[in-house]
Amino acid sequence: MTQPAAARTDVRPGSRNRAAPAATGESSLADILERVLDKGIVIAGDIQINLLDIELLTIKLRLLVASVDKAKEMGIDWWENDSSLSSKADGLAEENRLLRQRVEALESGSD
Amino acid sequence: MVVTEQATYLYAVTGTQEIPGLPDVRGISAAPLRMVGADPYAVVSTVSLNEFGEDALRQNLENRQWLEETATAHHEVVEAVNAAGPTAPVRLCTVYRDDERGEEMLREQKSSFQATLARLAGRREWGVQVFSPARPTENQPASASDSPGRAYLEQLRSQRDERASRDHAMAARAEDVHNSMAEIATAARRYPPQDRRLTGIPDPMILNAAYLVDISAEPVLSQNIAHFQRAGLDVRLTGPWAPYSFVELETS
Repeated sequence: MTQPAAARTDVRPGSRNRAAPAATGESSLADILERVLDKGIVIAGDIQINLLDIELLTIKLRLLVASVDKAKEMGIDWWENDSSLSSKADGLAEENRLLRQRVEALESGSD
Repeated sequence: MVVTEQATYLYAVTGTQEIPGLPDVRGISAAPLRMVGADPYAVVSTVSLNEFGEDALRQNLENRQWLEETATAHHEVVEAVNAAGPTAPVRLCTVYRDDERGEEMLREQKSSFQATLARLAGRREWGVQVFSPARPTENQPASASDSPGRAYLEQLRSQRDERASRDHAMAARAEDVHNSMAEIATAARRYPPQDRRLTGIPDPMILNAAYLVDISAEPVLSQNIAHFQRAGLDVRLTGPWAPYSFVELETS
């Protein structure tokens, strides 16, 4: 039986490979958080937490959690000094947009 | 009113009382696990309201380390329960005042849970992610233009066009993967692609989806994934998962 090649980053020995025909390695923390925070049955408990809070939290997580060590290896560590987390990324996107506009203006102007 | 110090944290709902792996697993804060209710059963542990009271919870959810530990403990319990039979994982941080309140909820939702669990029997959740290789664009030969500035801008434009058409082609291949998987699966669900900072993988994720697949169809799933991988696509399979993505309660 063909086994699909295991994912690059989540191959760790000894996990759930037993008899599963299509098994790969262990799941990443990002995949786990995505499921336990976003999915699963929502039933009313006695302690109510606002789901909107959870959603906001998830957005933050998308920006920073998971393979922190890996990210650091890649030189990504801006969140450590940035309390507003996403504001810097937004700033960069805005800066890129403005630069692109200028390039386009220059391109059309030079014709 | 006197607030009780402890509460009941609910991990998962299942139709079986026999969970061989359960004694080997601990819950949140290494608490022992127990079962409450009667078909369906819930797996629960005792947690402190100092940690899981409303205000404390709000703060703790913003604490990355607490969240990672709690999520991991939650997930490990769900896995152990799921290994024993059809299981409905419950959203993180579902907390009741005591076991009786949890049992009351199980009684009230009994038929919904039973319908959901019946639908999950003999099926497992698989995750599929597709990444788009971020190949560097080759330098174009300089154009015939006299102006170096203009030549540069033209090069930028052609790189941009090339990138756009490659992105378009990759998106179409990701759709092929999704459509073929959805045909094999009994249910499919797409997630937003994970951010690169989250995956730790430089290539952007262009498909992030979950599929509920009959165990008997898993060899076909295997072949399908292998087919795309042989064609050079960066497709990754995760799982089997407890059916997190497929457990909305059936409303009767």
